[in-house]
Amino acid sequence: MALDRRSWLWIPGRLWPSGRRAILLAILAGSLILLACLSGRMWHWYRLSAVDRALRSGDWQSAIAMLERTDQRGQNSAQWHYLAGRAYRRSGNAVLAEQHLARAAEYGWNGEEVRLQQLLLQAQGGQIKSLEGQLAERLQAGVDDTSAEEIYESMARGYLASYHIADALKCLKFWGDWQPNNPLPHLWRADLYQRIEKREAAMEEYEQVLALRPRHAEASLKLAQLRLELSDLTSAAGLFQACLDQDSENAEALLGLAECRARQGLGDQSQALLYDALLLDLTPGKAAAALARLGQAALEERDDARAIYFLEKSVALDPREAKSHLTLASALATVGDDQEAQRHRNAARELTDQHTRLVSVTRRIATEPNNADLRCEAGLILMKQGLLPAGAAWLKSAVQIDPNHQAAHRGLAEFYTRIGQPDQARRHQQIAGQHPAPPSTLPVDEQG
Amino acid sequence: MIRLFFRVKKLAAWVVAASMIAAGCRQQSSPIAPAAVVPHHSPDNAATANACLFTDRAASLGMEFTYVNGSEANHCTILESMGGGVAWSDFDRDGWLDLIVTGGGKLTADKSISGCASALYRNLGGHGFSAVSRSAGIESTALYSHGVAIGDFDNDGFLDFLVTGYGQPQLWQNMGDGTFREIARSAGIANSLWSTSAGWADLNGDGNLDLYLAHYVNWSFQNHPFCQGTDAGDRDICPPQTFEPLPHSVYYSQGDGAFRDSSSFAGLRADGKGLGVLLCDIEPDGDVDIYVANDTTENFLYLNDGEGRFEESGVSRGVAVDDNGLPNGSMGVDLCDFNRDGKPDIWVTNYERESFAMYRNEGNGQFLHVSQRLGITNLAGLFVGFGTACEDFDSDGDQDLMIANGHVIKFPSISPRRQLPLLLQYDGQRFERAPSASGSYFDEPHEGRGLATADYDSDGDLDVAISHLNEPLALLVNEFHVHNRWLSVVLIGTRSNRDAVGARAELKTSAGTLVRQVTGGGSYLSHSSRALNFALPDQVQPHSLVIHWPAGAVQKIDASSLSGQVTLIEPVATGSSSGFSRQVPR
Repeated sequence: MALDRRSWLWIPGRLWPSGRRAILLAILAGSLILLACLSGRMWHWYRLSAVDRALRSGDWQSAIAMLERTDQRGQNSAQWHYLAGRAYRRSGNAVLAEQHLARAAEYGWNGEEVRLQQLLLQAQGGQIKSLEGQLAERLQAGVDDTSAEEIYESMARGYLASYHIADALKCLKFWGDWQPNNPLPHLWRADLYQRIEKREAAMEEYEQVLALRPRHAEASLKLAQLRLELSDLTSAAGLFQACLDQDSENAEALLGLAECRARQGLGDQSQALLYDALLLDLTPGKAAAALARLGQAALEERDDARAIYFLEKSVALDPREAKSHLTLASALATVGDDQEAQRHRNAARELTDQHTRLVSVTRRIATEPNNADLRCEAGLILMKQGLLPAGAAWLKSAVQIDPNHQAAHRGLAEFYTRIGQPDQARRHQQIAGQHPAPPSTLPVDEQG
Repeated sequence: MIRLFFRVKKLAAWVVAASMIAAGCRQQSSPIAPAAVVPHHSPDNAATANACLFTDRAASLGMEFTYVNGSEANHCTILESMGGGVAWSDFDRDGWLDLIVTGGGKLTADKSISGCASALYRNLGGHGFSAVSRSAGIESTALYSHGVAIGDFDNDGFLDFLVTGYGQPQLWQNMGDGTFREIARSAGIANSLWSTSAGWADLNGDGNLDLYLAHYVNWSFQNHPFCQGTDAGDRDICPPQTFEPLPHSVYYSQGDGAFRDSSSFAGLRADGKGLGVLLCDIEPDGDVDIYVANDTTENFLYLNDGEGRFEESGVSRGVAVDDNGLPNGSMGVDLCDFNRDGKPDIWVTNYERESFAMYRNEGNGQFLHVSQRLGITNLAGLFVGFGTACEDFDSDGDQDLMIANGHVIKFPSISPRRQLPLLLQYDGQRFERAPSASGSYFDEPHEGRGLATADYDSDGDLDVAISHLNEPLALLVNEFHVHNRWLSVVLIGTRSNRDAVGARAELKTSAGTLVRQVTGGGSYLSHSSRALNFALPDQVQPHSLVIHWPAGAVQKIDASSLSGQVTLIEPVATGSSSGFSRQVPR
């Protein structure tokens, strides 16, 4: 077939079809194919290097986003799985982290590095007290800066997760002293101070983060929420707005700004922001919060039917929110539906009792970190509220302190049953059955 | 684009559904109160532009008194955090309001507790006060004292008073000759539980005043755990959650000056850590109900069946907890009608990081926590509020809120121990904090506790007495100098109890109706003057004054020419419109 000169496959006639020329052409084509292959690998290497850099800078969200954009072929490498394991571990997603680290080991990634990540994963999951010696040894033996940072971070997370407040503070102090320009120790310290209700100290830490990283979204948001709690509305609104300037779909910032506007007496603006928030793909909890706020506003305006509409939606989305139940009860009582009102009042009371008890228990855990009974009780309350992973974490920490803790094992058996892992459930049920319940150390009036 | 379309669609669904339901059911919802009947005056207008014009003149008027709490012994007891009260009343019936102030007490190193005498100040015609505690015979140090409640329990026309505290309360009977004698035990009030606020009212409708006595917690030096302060080693005052609540008491008069403990008969709950008590007709159905502000536990609303038996309905009526469903650390309480819809609202001061609570009366037995909407949550989140009053301090026609604040622990982390007092003015939509003049009482922090109001100098505006912890008493003289028409109505019951607690006055004016009620208790450990105060802006003309007496009589009076102080006596025959005793024109 004769080719037109204008065809993209046109080859000058003098190059075609002599033997030497055919060889040259084959070499050229081969080179092109090799280059293409190499460039794919180089591109993959470049992408994973970027992921590694993001992880080193503590930006695991970007790291995860980059990893998820990698093509299928790239996702089958040991390095990809290793990086994914690290990224998910640092983001707090233990399940995915565990899976990816196992695949990395399977694909032949450096065993020592995988083992370190698995150790860190266990530590931050709450087993810190049994692993802190090993981790401290690694730090003392001298590891590279990235590993040292990850060890500090995991230890801090582990202490926080298991409510070893004094240890967490000590760890964060060492870390902060070593890396004064790293925002993470400040961020963790702020989180810790919030847990123990030292809001002023928490705000100072968030301000330190923002001094180091002025556009740090999490610090801005948390600081805004604290300022809102302290009724510093102007400042809170400014910080929420700054979050929205960076990400106009930041639901928490939208809800926070709506709350500020409501408290500033700008009800219309508040409601507009809540409607904006409802346009987003909100989690059920956040959607429920927005609907509850709209319901509250309607009730205050004596629009009972509208209030009931919003509040019933809110309660359906998040039945754990006592405030929504209570506001709905008020609205229902106002229209004379006393029976339903009472039902929601009872629900609200049960939830607030649980909340009060949980606050009391976690405060005591801060001063009695080795009290397995308290940890077990915290876990069981959370389980009762449907917060299964959080509840299970407390129960696991109770079992770490007292491996024969009957109630904790029974709770874990229930947890694994509910998440569809019958083998694990059976194991915990067996342990629970083998060990009779020891006398509780809780005072009788506090055993609720 | 498709995603956006679905999002818009989703929003539209919310809005349309809500609007349809609202439109379809609007007839069923409660009607909006006629809030516009009297024009609300913005704080920007002339009456309030001068803002918080009160001057502390206690010392210059002859009142130099300090409540002491014994903190110098450094035991860090919860007893020290309570503070004292103040009460206004015309004990000598000379037409001028006198003041009684509780003294507190002392703690010694060997853990003994003693009292400091209360003080009685006689009003010298509005120009000063004279301390008459000694001649009145009330200088007792037997009780570490807190609160004071005024009531003419023996119906002899001379006002008596009860002092609460850590131990047996003292009932001081006014002998009518300028002296008092203490008769609590002999009158049947034998009670050694730690008492705080108290209130007098005729709870069982027999025409005699009964007593509600709030109790706090089971602290003693035998139950005095160590509570950690902010830093290691610092001992601080333990929170109320550390202790068990004490059951409250109600004493019914037997009509002969004696009382019997009727707590079981009345159906009181066995719990509650009571700090504030308000006795008034909440529903209103003609009998006196009880509202109790409890510290960290649910507040109580006892609804009266008319015969002195009560049903506690705080939760079902929406006044037990805050808008998050949580019980607050409630301290002070007052009856209010901030929106002038004629329905009594309940106002409660609370602990820091909890909003002070305005429970708006929805008119169907339900109350709604509307503090956030009114801007109160925003203003008051950092204060620990105690004594309070809902009154028209700036004489602009609507009620304002005054709160005495101060922390309860030694090492607070969120807000300081000494805190600014607050005057919140209502602008028709929200409460705004009145600015204060530099160096004035409202510009300086205090450890405020009891607060009571009265027009002690009879100039037509309300003055305020405030008790502090370990700091001299303040007498805040109102200097707004708003020359509006005013009316101060004192009611004297004949068929009803003599103090007329539970009586409701409706002043019908050219701009709507203003409603006030005679209450028992109120504020925190304190007692305001029983006079019902109305301030009328220039353009507003009063038409009639309607009194709903507790015994059922309704008395209507032409108010077009009324002004100044007016005393009304309950007519013996129902429907009578006579009964003027005295009118002091301005």
